[in-house]
Amino acid sequence: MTAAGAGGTGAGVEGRGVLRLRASALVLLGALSAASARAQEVTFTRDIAPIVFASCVPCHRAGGPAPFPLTSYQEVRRRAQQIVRVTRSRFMPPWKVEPEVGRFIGQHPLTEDQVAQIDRWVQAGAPEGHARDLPPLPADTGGWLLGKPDLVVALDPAYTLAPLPTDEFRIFAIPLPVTARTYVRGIEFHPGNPRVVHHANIRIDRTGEARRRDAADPRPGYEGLMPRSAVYPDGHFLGWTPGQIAPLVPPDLAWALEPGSDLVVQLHMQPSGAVEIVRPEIGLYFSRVPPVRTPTILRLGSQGIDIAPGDPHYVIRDAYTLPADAELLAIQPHAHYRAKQILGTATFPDGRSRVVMHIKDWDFRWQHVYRLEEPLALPKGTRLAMEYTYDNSADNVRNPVVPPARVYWGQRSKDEMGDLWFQLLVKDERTRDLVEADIQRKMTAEDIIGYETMLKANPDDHELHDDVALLYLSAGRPADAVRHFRASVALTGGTATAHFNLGTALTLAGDLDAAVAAFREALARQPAYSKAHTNLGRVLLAQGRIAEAVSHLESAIRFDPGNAQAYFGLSEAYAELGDYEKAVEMADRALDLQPPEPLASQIRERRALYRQRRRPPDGEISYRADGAGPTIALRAASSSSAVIRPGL
Amino acid sequence: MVRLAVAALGVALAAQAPITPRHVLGLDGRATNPLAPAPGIAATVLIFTTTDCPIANRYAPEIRRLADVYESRGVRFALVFPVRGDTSEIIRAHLQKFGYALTAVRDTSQELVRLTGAEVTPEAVLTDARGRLVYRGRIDDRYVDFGLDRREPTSRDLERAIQDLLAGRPVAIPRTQAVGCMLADLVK
Repeated sequence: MTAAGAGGTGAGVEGRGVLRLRASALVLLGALSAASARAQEVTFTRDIAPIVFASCVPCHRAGGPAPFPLTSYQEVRRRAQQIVRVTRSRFMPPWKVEPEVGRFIGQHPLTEDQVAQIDRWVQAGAPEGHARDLPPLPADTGGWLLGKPDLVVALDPAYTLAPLPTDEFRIFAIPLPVTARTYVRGIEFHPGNPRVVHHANIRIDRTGEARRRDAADPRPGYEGLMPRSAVYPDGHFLGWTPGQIAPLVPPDLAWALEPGSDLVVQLHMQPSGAVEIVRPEIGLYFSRVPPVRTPTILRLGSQGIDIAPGDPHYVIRDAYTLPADAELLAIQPHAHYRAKQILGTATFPDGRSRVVMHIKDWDFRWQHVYRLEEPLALPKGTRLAMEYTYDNSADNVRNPVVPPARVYWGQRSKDEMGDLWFQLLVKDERTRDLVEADIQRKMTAEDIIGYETMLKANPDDHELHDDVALLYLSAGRPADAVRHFRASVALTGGTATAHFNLGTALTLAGDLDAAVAAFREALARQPAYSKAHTNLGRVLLAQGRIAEAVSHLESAIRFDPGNAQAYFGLSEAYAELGDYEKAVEMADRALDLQPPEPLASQIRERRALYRQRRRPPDGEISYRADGAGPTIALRAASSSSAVIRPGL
Repeated sequence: MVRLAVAALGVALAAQAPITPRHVLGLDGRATNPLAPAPGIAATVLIFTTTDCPIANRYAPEIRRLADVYESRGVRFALVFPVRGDTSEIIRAHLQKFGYALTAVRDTSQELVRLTGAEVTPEAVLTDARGRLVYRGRIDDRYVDFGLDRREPTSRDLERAIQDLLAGRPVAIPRTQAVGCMLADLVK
């Protein structure tokens, strides 16, 4: 009701003066009530646009990952009631972590007040407001947000995504053309097709395994599992979710990229209903100086997951107590479809406890690395713990298997996983290695459980037997490795490699006769198997069967002249025979091949010993007590009696 | 009492009246009635959709499948675009991108939305040969809510309704709740 309207009607038939006074009083009153109405009235330009521009537009803009823009009054007005609904249910914005956990970089959740404000606005008819109140749109930062990259790689050829009704996961190996060790401060991932690429899990593979699997599939990429060799580099999480660009780490925290590495990118794609082309690009940013500090990744979780069909409430727990002071930089939860509640806590030495991760309604499609705005101090003795809950009932709409079946730990989508990854910075560089080794022991033990779990479901998968056998060897449990290599031999019908692996494990387990038999089986199938000749030679040497050992070691070299281990074996064989001259010669040949550590040091040590035992060329030999090497005192035939110390 | 009974009768009669839109446009800009009785047409399926609703778009292969199966049995399919911003040009590009070979009409005054009661996109309406509404609701139950969808639908409700109608049976489930982008703000 406007002031003019109120003043113009119902005037009494009184004198003009009174009328005018009453009219102006009414005008004044009218003006006052209109002003307060405007103050109470929520408008788009003044009240709603700031909220939408800050929390929605990063994704909801032209060319962004969201399916429609929310950059103008018309665009928002058209969906006003839907916006009320999705903000009330917290479906949007899609920040799944409970607010009381704290703030993470790049997240823009709405407060309760903001959600209520949007509701009030819509209830009032969604008025636009004055144009002058409209704030500017956030700048559209296309291009490289982190600056010009030092290297850009892309998925070539691009991948064609078919119009499937449901999500697709696919792994791509992208070569990284660096020619020397390079230190990387970070990467920027451009999905190429932001509507369709929902998130990316990114790893580094130095072994070429991912590349082989990619090449084996005729189309770009392959469907399947991340190879074990594809890892997070040196304590850094790589990955991408929409709107999230991980800031570059300071140069002293950069990670080392070796030549011959591939970027292994697992894309989660949501088909659109039409054929789509997907060609992501990745920019890499380098540091000229090597890192001074390296983060450590801790994985908590359970690989023994085994959920009965229909179980609506299956719980896993794990914990680890920090043996040194550290800071928490980032957290990444991981599970598949059936997980419901994700919980991570830190309990400090003084008994205080803090929730560091809490998601109530886990959605596999919203995977994210949560980087803390401020690192969290974790003093020595802090206990980090996780607890995940799963629903394997038919009532769980997200259950990928209907009717529900028994679910094991595993990497396929029908399996389940439950990991909570922590990125830590151990304060003291020297203790970092100790912490890293401690964590590795814990993770290897858990990985073994994971393989044993997978073998429950797939007892005839010989690759699983091989993989877990190798883990058992690294964990110092050769007898268990033997058990699994025997299974692998039985399943593969006994390939040369299978027998070789078994022989090696038997050697480490101390069962030399059986080891010899296994290596002979390997050689029967593959007579030119240099490594089998080498290992057989060494076992025979240990059994005192020198002549046979030498024969096999020489065969090993014949089939592979670059086999440093074989030369080393020969060196030891000749030493056993008392021919130290030849022993040193063989050790030299081994060292010429530039073997890696720790083999090179072992060879050098032995070589020094054999040199000492060699017959001297002339003169007396005296041995120095400090073992620094023999000295030769020349006979008095020469005028000086200089002591010559032969160089090593 | 009598008034109530008469009112109820009125509602029932309204449900039985053929839907006859007068303001729906074809892509050529001319008025058209996608529900008009025609020889050989046993039923009409309207799919309310927009060009930028991700749920509606993900249903494109399923909509095409239904058309492939049932068009030869006298079921006519039409995509209905109630958002004014979806111009003929935009719609044509959209049809090509999603491989649709279906009739598309523009319901720019949301007349069909009001006449059928459609609430979201995608939403399906099935009418008989005379244009009387016999089913309104979801295409299938894949979507339970935003961000909550099944791997496979367990109930293909539109298809079952079509089958009921073609077999001469009353449609067993004439009404289901569709999930998708809300139309409420378009219809004042």
